[in-house]
Amino acid sequence: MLLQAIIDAVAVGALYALVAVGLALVFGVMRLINFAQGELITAGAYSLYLTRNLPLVVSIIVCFVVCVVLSVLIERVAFRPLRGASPATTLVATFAVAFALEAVWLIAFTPQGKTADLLSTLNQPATHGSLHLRWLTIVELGAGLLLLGGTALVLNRTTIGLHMRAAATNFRDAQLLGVRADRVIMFAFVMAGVLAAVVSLLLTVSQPLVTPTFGLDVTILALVGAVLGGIDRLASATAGGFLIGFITSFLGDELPASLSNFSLSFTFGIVILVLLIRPAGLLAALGQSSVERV
Amino acid sequence: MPEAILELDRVEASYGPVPVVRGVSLTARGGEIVGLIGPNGAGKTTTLLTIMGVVPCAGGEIKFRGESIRGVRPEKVVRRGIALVPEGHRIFGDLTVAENLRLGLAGRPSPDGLSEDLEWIHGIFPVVNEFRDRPAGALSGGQQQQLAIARALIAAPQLLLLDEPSLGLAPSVVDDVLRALGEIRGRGVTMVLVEQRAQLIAGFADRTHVLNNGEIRTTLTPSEAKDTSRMIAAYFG
Repeated sequence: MLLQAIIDAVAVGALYALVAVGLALVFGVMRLINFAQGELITAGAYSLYLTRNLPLVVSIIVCFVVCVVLSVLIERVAFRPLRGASPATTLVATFAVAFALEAVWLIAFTPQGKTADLLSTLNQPATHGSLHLRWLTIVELGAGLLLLGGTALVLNRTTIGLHMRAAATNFRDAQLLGVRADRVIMFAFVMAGVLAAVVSLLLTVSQPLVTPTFGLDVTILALVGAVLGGIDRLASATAGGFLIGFITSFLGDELPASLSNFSLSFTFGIVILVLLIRPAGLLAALGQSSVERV
Repeated sequence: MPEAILELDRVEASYGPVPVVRGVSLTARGGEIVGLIGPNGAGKTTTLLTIMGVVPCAGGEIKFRGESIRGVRPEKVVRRGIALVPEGHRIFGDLTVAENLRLGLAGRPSPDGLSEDLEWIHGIFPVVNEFRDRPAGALSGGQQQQLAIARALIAAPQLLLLDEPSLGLAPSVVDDVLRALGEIRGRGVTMVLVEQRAQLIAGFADRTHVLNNGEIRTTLTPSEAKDTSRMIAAYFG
């Protein structure tokens, strides 16, 4: 049914939008695409598996702590020493961190995957007339709205948010006004960690089998979405993330059974078409021809 | 004699292997305006960026109020009391005028006396208050320059470095900017003023150094501002 497919797609879109915001926040202040963001989601999911026998609240708190601490640690250990290095070097560093962490998950948790069965009640249908939604869909929508609104509020209403917006426009100019580079970058990684924890939680509820590439797949697709929208602006990156989630879910639901295996191919086909027409992103400012801004 | 606020002693700076600032020495005392003029590529902007810690100081010494600031990071230099109004205003066009001004607070060492300072700044640059909710990018060039100076002043600097504040402005607007700088000096703020309009600045500043090829070639007092032959010799010699 079309309405149900749309609502499902909106919920999946919200999840991808959260991943895209995490990527765009870090990109804004560092001009760096942080592939390690996916590993934060995986780390959070494994922490949920490891704490599955503890009370739910403890389990969730541990998940947040793991994601935020790991995010800050990655910045401190891997990216800070490379600040000022060429973009290619830092990009390779994010791959290195992502692959290193993936190897850790493989060794510690085996490739087979672990089941982190929590909040399974959210997978029950909340039936309304002919609509059969899962409670999780409603939670995803709520969490997406709340976090995106919260992020916008932090960026627009707080001093650190103002500093982040200035740093995202021109880092050196912001520093020359006294904006502390370390603090702004650290804060972006903290926010990325919080967003990763929420995604981790929602994703684990919907797919309890946690594998070493658990967070990577969703991150790559969200990154594609962010680039599709225009990664240099938070709003366009978020909208792009949402769009890719929406398209993927909608095609998965609506394509005939014989074609549904190719839904990703259809998604990327649309992406290629869009980027051919608007290389700076679908939602980038009119007249802007490239992602780089001087 | 007032306290030396800024002292450069044989400062060297380079971009890669190319030396740009070669043994520049100068002093700015409390409340003084020191001019820095010279042809394009003379090293004027690089001298300011070296003081701010953006370009590494490869040799010599930079002292602010008697303490070395060589190797100090830009954001810390600002918090010690030095503000830069960069070339081309460099305001954040997407942010509002008020937000741009708030960014200046990042470099302010203490919130004490902020409301008095704001009142003073609004007095010099009324446009900053009048258009506070507009995107800064919608202001005219002259208004953006006023915003850039106001934003630097809100950090309560003891030393203000200005890089070509008159660039691209109409002559009447340049007069307004110079009048504002006079008022800022009246508050005891020391200034180093980089400019292309050589004669205007040589007549306005307490002392004007002519920089060429990274070296100070001559120093002019206001009474020597009309000595064009000396200026030309320093520019092209």
